[in-house]
Amino acid sequence: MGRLKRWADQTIGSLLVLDTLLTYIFLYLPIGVLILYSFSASRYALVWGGFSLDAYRRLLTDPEIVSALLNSVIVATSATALATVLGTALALALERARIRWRGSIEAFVYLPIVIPEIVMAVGLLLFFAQVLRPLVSTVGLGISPPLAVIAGHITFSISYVMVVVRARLRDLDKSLEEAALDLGATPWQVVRRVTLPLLAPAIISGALLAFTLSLDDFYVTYFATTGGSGFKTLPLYLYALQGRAAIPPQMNAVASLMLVASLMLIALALLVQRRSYSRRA
Amino acid sequence: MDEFSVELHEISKRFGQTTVVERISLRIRSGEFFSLLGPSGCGKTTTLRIIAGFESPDSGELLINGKLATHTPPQERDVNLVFQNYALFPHLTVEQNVAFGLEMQKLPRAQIRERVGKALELVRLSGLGARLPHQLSGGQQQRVALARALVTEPSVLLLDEPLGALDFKLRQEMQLELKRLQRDLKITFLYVTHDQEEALKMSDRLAVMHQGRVLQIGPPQEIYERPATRFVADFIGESNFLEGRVVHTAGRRAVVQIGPLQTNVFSDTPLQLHQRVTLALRPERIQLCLPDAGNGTWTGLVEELIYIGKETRYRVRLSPEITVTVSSPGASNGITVGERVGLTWDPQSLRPIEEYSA
Repeated sequence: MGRLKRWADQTIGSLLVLDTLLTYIFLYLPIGVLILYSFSASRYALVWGGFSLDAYRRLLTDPEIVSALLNSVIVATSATALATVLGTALALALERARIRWRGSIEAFVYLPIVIPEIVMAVGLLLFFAQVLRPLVSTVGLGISPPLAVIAGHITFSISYVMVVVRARLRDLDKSLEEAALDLGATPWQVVRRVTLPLLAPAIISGALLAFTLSLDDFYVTYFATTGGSGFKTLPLYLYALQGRAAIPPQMNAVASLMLVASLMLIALALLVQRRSYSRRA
Repeated sequence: MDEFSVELHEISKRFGQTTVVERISLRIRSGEFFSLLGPSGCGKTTTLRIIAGFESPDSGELLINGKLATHTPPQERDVNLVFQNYALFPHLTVEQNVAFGLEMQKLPRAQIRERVGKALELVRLSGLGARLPHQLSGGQQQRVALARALVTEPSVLLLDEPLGALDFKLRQEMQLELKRLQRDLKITFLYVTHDQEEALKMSDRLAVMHQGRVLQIGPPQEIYERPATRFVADFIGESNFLEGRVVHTAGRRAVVQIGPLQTNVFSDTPLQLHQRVTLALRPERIQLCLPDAGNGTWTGLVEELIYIGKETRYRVRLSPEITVTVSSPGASNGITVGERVGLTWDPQSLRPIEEYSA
């Protein structure tokens, strides 16, 4: 009996280890292959041709890549800045102000996180084409593709910033704000001198999250630039690359670099948040 | 200077269905150490928050320094609150915390620095100005909170159980220190506590609160010696309650029959013949004497005896229905369980009280 049980335990134990191993392989092998192939010397992305840094070297000289990278950074920076301001304001309003129908308003703010991104993208396309463009053209203005992309990125980033900031705001001891009021601060001074400084870690990590999402976004960018404007961010550039008959190896290098950048941003966001918590304890 | 720092007239506050504060009227004199004493949930903290401006009363009027302030925003009230959890700004140093109120008043830098220095000196924290709150002990944080609230020289300082989080020794120390500060600065202190000993020790006057109402207001001695209601007699210190009927009256003196026992009672308002009455008698005001001594003493059997160091507590059965608790300083001096003892007391200690039905 004892031997049978031990045998069963051992078998189950090994099976669990195997399962874990397979899961990790399943999750990370494609990424590993991507990184490996980004160091390939071959002229084709999908062929291994020995180790080389050619793909990376080519990145710096390819004007298309440089312009896509620049576009991505401009879009992500502007969208993040605006989404952070709006998302933080929204979190403050939802958590601190007396609002009617708070529940419904909240649900609408969370919605962009859960609805399929493609739906959002199609919606934005329609909105730009049928509502916004005709509207601004009546006052003699136009919406350039970058502006449309930035606006689109802001719409989904706000929700993420709001969620992160709000979680921290809910933890924030209300008596701190009361103490500031009590000491003669006006409500605006309370926000500036007490609430915002204490929220800073959450605001920063919300912004980093928005930045990462913006860098990574494909759907919204693709649909917002429909009409062949030629405006490309990195994800759109990669998508265009894979459509070619012979996929150049830069694709792997760009993707690898985006992976590293995203990981670094997320790590930074976590670090900022953890530091703030340890300081509070 | 006005005679009263804070006046509440018929203040009421409801949260949803529950009435937290019910028609409270208080007048707190300038320069007075006034306590709101009551069990948790009695409405004392809500009353304090109404005065600070964080809650708005449903009805009634609030005056601060003689001026109507019922709906004045908190930042415009000449009162500062010391929070129960201190509410120190965690991102600011001790100095910056204390300077906060002065900066809001837009005082010149040099003056702020000077007054912050003085305030820290006052609470004996000079030298710790550059620390962050989390680098301080609980007692030190408490002092920073005090300095921060005092530095703007408000006419009233509100304190919400400020010593609740401190250990016993530190608490005793801070009680003395608060009292010293209040005397030196001549600021009105409005102190909220559930600790009756603390309230008795520190206050010039106190109000006992229960279920949103004020039951009695007076100096500590009056509250302790002449509790108006059963709740006050029970909550502050400890009391034996004896239910009886008046069988004889002669001016302020009355004779009350309690079961088989009789006793003389002196009361401020004359009792009516045949009236039912509840008498309160504090355990430490009863002395043990020889049994069957006559002269209005009672005799009973010691049922239980507990020695707790500074005093010994006896449970004495006087009749099948009546037992009283007696406490006397020191050890039991040879008295044992089962022994017959006599009980005697100063007639002034036996107080008729109102029944307060909750």
